[in-house]
Amino acid sequence: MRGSPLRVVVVGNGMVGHRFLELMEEKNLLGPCEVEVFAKEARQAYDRVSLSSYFDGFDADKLSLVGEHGYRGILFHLDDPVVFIDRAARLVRSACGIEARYDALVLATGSVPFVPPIPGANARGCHPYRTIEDLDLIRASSKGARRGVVVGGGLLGLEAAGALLALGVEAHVVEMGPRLLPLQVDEGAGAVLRRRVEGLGLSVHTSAGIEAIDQDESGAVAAVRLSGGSVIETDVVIFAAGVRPDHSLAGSCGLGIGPKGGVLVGSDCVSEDPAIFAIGECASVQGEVFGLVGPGYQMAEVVASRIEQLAAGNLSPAGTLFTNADLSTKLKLLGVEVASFGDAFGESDAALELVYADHVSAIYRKLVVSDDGQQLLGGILVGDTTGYAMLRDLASRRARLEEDPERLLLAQISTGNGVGLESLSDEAVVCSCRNVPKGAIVAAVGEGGCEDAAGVKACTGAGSGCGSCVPMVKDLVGLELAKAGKEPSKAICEHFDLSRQELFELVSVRGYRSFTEAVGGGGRGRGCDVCKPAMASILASQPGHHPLEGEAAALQDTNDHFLANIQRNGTYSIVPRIPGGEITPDGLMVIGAVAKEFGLYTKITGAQRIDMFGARAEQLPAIWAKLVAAGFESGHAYGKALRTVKSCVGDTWCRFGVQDSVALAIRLELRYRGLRSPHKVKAGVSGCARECAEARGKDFGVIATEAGWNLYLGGNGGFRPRHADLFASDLDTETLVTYLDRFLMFYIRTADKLQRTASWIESMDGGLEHLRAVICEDSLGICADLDDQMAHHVASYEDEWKAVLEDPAKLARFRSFVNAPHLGDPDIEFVHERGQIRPAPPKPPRHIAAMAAKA
Amino acid sequence: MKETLVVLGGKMAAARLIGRLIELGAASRYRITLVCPEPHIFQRSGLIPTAPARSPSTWSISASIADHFGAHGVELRCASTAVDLDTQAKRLVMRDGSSIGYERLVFATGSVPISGCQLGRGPEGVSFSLGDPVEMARLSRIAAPMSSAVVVGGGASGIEAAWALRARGVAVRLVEASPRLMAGLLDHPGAAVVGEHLSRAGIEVSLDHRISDARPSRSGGGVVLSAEDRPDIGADFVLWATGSIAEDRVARRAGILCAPRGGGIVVDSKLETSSPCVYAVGSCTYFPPGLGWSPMAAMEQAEVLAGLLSEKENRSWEPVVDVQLGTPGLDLAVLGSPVLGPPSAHVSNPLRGIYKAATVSEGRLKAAVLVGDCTPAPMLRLLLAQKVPLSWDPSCLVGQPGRFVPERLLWPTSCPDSRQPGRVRMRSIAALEEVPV
Repeated sequence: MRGSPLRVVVVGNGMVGHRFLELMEEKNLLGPCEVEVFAKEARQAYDRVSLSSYFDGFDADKLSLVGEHGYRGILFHLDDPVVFIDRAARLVRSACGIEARYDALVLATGSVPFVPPIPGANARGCHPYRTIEDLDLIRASSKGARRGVVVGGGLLGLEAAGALLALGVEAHVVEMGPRLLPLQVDEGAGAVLRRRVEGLGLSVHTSAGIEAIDQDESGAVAAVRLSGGSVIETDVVIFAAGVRPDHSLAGSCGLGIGPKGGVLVGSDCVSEDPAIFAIGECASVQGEVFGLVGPGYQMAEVVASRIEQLAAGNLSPAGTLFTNADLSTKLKLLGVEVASFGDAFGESDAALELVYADHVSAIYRKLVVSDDGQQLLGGILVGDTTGYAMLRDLASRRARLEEDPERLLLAQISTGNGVGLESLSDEAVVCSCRNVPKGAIVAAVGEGGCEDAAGVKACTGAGSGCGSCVPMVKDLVGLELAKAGKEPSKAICEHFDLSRQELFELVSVRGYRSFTEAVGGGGRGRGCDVCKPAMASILASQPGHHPLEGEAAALQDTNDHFLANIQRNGTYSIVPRIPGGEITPDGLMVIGAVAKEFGLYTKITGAQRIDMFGARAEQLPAIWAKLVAAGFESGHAYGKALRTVKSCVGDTWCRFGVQDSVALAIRLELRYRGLRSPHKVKAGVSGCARECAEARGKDFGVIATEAGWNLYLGGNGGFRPRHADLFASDLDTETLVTYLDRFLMFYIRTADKLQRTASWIESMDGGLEHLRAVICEDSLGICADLDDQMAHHVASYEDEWKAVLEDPAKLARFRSFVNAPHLGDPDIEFVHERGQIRPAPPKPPRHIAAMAAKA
Repeated sequence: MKETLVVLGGKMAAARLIGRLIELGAASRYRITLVCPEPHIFQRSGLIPTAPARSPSTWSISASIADHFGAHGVELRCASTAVDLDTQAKRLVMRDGSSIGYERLVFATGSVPISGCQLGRGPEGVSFSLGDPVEMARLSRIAAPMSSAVVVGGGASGIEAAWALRARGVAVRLVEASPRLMAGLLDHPGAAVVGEHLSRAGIEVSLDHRISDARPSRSGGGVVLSAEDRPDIGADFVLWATGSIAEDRVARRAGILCAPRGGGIVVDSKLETSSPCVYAVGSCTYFPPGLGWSPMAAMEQAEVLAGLLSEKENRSWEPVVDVQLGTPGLDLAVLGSPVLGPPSAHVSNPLRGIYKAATVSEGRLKAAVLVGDCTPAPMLRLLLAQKVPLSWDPSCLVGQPGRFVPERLLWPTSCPDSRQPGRVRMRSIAALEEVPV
């Protein structure tokens, strides 16, 4: 603790100087320090950023940052700038001759407006735009003025132009650069901005400099001459061409000046003289100067902390440093919203720009992303700054994007069809293939009673050609139904008034065990090719249900009917379950023996198991009898069910593995085997980040970390490959299993028919976030239920094939011909290739004579 | 008493006209005769597999179109060349001296491909013209994986042809004389994105490359193309997609008003020529500069005329740009009038190779370009066709964001993604024949 108070002298009372004083007060340093402030202006600190609002009432007090009572506990000198610093003696002298000693000197002298060296710039009526006094002078010059010219089209220039407009003066802006706000926005945004401000009555001249200012005989400004040759007659000229750091004081006492001006300081805001600090616009932090108030405030914080330590007697203080300034801005200029953040100009390597530019509505949105689309790097928004806070946050955190960046870009702009369709005339042809006008579709919904696009297609033919109009038809139907107060139906088909999810609930709650019961209790009619498979899937997901039990067999399509996959020549394949891809040599030998005995073709599948092909329907029970006897089970390769959980070798054998991926994969596969779902479920577990099990391309994928398991959900391969998204990290095994239980059960209960997990998550309101809330935080209160259902499934699991083998009624189904049970299918032919059988190639089609005549 | 309707020509527009007449029941009102110089009626070229997205109904009759026409009483006179038309006597004079009388006549004679090369079309057997159906059928038989081709002409047709060849595993180079692709229809940013798509598909694109000569290559069986300030390029064959001139000689000789220099037969909004009861549809008609012929336009003309002749419909036709490329895996459409200056609004997403732009004038949508995502096309077509101006809605370009597009890949995987020839699968909406290796 120091003995005598620390003497702190502050030069300058602008916004940053003021902030520094506030911080000193907040940190209770006004006691241990003696603070003395010298201010150049005749006013105490005011909000220079909102300077233009002065024209709204001309009340300087409204702008003041200092309370009514001024600064307490601080010795204050107004209108008395410091003119000399004696570094050796550690004292300053002011214009009025006051001398003050210091232990710490804080320079916050701000900037001076840059007035370009234009001949005639000293004419009467030419003013800079920085202080309240400047504004009073501008106001005076503008009385009776017809026109004003603002030199500079940056932030300050547009503010000044707005001020002129507020004063009722015709305003022109002259900007040297190719566009307005050249430092904040790019060409496209500049064009949109220009359009907006021109719409407000501002005249904009870009790529133009001022060559000379003409005066009249009395020395008042008469006109400006632009570099292109044109002349603008004017009564007022405002210089808003930028500011330069005010470092004159520092320069004169020998302190180093930065390359762009300003007192050279380190990131600790200390100059080469350890007792002298610089903050705000006058500081050049490692060569960089900042014209925004945000970085200045940060610097004030840095210095205030240092002073705090000095005051506590710490002679070599260490503390916060000034880090890279966040130059993001969001403001309203002349009523136009403008925002710019991060790498707004796409200067990073391998950055790509997504752009939405609408010059008609004067909206410009640009997002700069990394070239893999995973990170948001920056952006510029003009006219519509929706989502700015979130976007800026994503960019500054370099967060991994969960959403398609195009969605972020087009945030507010929803799909257009609804609005446009309303205003179309009835003759507008919506379906051009069938020439169906809007009026016909509207009539189909109205008088025709159609309630969905399918109905409209049946009535009018719209959408039955190329199909590209179907989204519009759907929207029209929705619009018309909404007008009639009806909601479009989510029913799966005409036999049930319920969506798949609702149907699932119905079946679970009422305990229906067959299609007949379900349609009797909750539907109508005899069913169709839409509801029967959907019902089959729902029933199969109920615990203790066998797909060939009683009536259920009739619901199945061919694969499930025979519990095998039909192949192109009418034979079937057999896939025993090989959990986790692990099999013993004895197991291999059993499979080998069975395949040899029945003459089957064998292949290892992409799902890490062995597939045997070429079996006739009536051979299946015999083959499975041998497999079941050896301890194998059905692999459900034929069903909309869990298929496999792939694994890599993991830490049991592999040098790189960090967890036992094989054990986990086996555990998961044995837990979820037999689980029927809306669509197939594939999974994988990798033992380290090298991801040899390709778990990220799966409905659920697990990747080991040092601390546990990372869980990824919603991926798939196939037609539209998709990577699973990270759901939770570093989970312990039990939590992982709980989350998976809930994920799978929730999917089974609420997904649409034939909807993969990826599509299901995507179409969920809130997506992955919502899923997290439901599963991890139990936001719907159903986790106990889900856990129960999964426990029930695990407890009641029975191998389907074993059940078939034990039931003569089910065994009786396995024949090729219903009325000739001992006859095999004579059309099945094989040839040999690479030492195994394969289906014989199809016979060439027989030509009909007339067809052969065609070219 | 049936009126005699003679349709001169046996390609797409003629087939569609007669097909539509039959659909509208006009076959009972007219005695229709189709006269064409080719040996039989041709569908769309055998090379490019997808028909235009609209009006697919005829194509389902494809294999037996001649039978279908025959069953409805249409007389087919193939391999017959007309040489003269006597509009006074209403007779069509054939090369073999015979003549056919008519009450109404429709020119659907199509167009003749031109090569940009002054010295002729290049060596026999390795030089093909897009738009000549006989040559296209031949090409489609010999274009095999591992072969190489140069497509000359970077307009819509050239791009389609290059894409179709690439899909068969041919190594393709697309050569365009002007500084950008589809120069008459796309602005620079749009053309650049299309170029990217082509490059990613393995098609080499060469701009500012004007071919001046084509000769057989010395080392057996191929062709060498040279240009003024570029090195020679060689390939197994060359496909000219450098435009065509209308086949309007008979009409011209008969005194019917035609645009100069093979510009085509002039028709009014009811598709009638300057001579009463003589009509014209398809690429033999005159299209104003900048509005090139497109399959869509020809179909539209055929359908409008069929409606008028059958007196079942009373529509008008006006030339409008509506080009949607038959390139499965590459969505590309140009709608409205071509406006080549900066668009009024655009969306660009280089992550997925998307560029969509619209031009609005006096509050009305005038034109739109869609590259990489054609889902907004139906709505945009409607807006373009509206007689009453609709105020511009920025969401018109957005399309269907609700559609699930999960891939984080930079390019759709439907493009053949390597330059190696071999069997190349393309994911597409229309079925695509696979050429086995």
